[in-house]
Amino acid sequence: MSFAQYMERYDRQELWQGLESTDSSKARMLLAKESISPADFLLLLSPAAETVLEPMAQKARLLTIKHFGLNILLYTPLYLSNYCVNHCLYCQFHAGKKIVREQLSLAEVEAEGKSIAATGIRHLLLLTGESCAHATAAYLSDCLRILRPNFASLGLEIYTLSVEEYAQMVQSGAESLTLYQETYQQESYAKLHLSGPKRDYFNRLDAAERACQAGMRRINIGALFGLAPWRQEAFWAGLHAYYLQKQYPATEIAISLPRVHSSHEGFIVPCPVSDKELVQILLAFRLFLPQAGITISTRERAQLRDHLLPLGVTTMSVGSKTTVGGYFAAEKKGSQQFPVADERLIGEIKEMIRRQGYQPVMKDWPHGANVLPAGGA
Amino acid sequence: MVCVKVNGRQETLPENYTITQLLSQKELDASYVVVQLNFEIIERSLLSETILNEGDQLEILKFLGGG
Amino acid sequence: MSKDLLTIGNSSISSRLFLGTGKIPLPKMKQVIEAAGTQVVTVALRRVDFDQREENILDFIPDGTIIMPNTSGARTAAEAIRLAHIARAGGCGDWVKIEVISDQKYLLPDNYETLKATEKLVKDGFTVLPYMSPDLMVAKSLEAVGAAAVMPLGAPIGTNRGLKLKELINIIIEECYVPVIVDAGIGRPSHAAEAMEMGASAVLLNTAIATADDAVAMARAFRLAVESGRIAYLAGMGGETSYARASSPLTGFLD
Repeated sequence: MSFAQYMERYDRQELWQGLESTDSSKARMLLAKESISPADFLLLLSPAAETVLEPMAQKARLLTIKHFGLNILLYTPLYLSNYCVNHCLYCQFHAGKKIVREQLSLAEVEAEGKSIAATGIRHLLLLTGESCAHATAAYLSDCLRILRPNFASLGLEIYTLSVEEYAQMVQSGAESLTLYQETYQQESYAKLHLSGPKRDYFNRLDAAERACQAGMRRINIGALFGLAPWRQEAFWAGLHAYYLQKQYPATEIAISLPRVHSSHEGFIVPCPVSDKELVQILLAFRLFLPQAGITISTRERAQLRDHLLPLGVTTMSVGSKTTVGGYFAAEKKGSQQFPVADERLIGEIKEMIRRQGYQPVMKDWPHGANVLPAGGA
Repeated sequence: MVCVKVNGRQETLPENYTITQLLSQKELDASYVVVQLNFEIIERSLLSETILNEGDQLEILKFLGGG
Repeated sequence: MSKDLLTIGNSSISSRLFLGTGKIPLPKMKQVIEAAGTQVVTVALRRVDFDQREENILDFIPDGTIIMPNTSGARTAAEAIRLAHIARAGGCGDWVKIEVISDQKYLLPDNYETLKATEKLVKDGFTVLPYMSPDLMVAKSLEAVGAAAVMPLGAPIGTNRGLKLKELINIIIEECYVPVIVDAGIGRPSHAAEAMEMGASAVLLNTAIATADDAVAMARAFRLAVESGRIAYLAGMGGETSYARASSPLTGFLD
């Protein structure tokens, strides 16, 4: 069974009806339950839950502490290449954009890696656009090998691969994969992805699963909120994580809630998500998926990130540049993929985390030492 | 005469003796038992055609209460 | 409530109480099965004992009941596979309860051999219900090779000690798509109700009914307990804890 097949188990009409529930007493009762079913999750995403956000938040905080302790894992993204053949309307790197295209040489990758490692960061996320002439699987393998010695964990956020290619990435040292479906609504997906291999909705939907099969340790999924009605998007994204957790018990499943913002270059967010709605999604995710890591990136502004932290967040990006390179060689600075809203440096972020009574974590497992990660019996 | 092992016990049977004949000698209803000859399951329809030979090992099994 | 059926293999059944027939006197069998409302019973396979005239158990099981032979006595996957084929030749359909027990002291199932037997018998076209020690990864593996259900034990067989392995069974119920049937250890109707409240798809029991002073009355008691637990599960139980505690508001920033 694939997730696409699993989605078919649900009657859309019934689902969307459930998402319109306004029975807040029912939502309140859910808070006393030990485990939240997909049907309960639906209710937590409906207007019925709007009046119980505070008790949801209290429970979300306790659940998170129970499963993750008072820890916030920090990572930094590194853009390797912005060459891209896909035309995704919301992306500043899409094929139709007249921007400076760059790809880091292996020497530059090493230098950027060292600059980042010097800040204390040990979890690194590598990103590329999709272009088989540029950031090839072989190039990515080389980057992973070069960066490996300086980092405890290397993640990839790249175009989709086959099982064999994902296995090759794992072999080369990739520990995690971040892959957003962008939107789970097929129609919106088709409208937003005009051309390029990424147009294939089902290929993307299956990719997280292929990475699980290839032995990737952690998978981070999500929807890009703002592209389609958020309640439905959040339901599918949560269900996707739930499905992967069930299907691949050996893989750690995490979920992100990136929010797309309108750009000055003319992309208008079709279905904007307010801060309050973002909070509802975050809380519903946490209550439905107590064991899933939740990431909040620097797409969100500093003040909001500080408030979201105790509501279920486990992972935050820090010191992010969304240009190609940008840590070592400032002159490489081309266009940004998206504007960074929280530009605080790592020291400030660590301080903010400590102030809230949490501990900033730079690495939560040692790679390659054949040692079990912390948390084993 | 042939020597055959039936449920672990040596039995001496006449030549050209079929399994059906053996079952009726034991007062067993063929539809209640399963017969294995030399570790091969013998279909019920073949019981009357199957002749027991010297050294054959026969297992006659039946259902009984179990959890 | 619309019809709440349990689907296993190609069968849909309404009774969630499966009954082992061991130690139940044959003359009482039909009455016990009827009082339990059971639609699935297990039987074992043994050599015919020529020194003892025995009646045929199949004559005492009401028509339409699904008969699920077990592979008890098997200590290896190969033996279980052989027993399953013999049972099928016996004309009881293609359901089989895999029971491979190599440990002769506690009679705990051998999960490794059970998995091997399940994989082969699924390929051979059986509807396979493996009895197992509650281990998540084994349950997921059994599911992956095509088991029609998984049957974790609640406590060592015959002990009547109840759901001693509740935490582990709970995890299996949460994580498996196939029905989870709690087999072994259930000693009282309240244990059966507890398993059903947790979300088990069915329970399989034998000793608790067979050894009661009045097996027929006990069968009825279990039937009610299983139904009641199932209804409670479907009704969606409220939680016990209220963790709402005074602390500074976490969502005040939204106002």
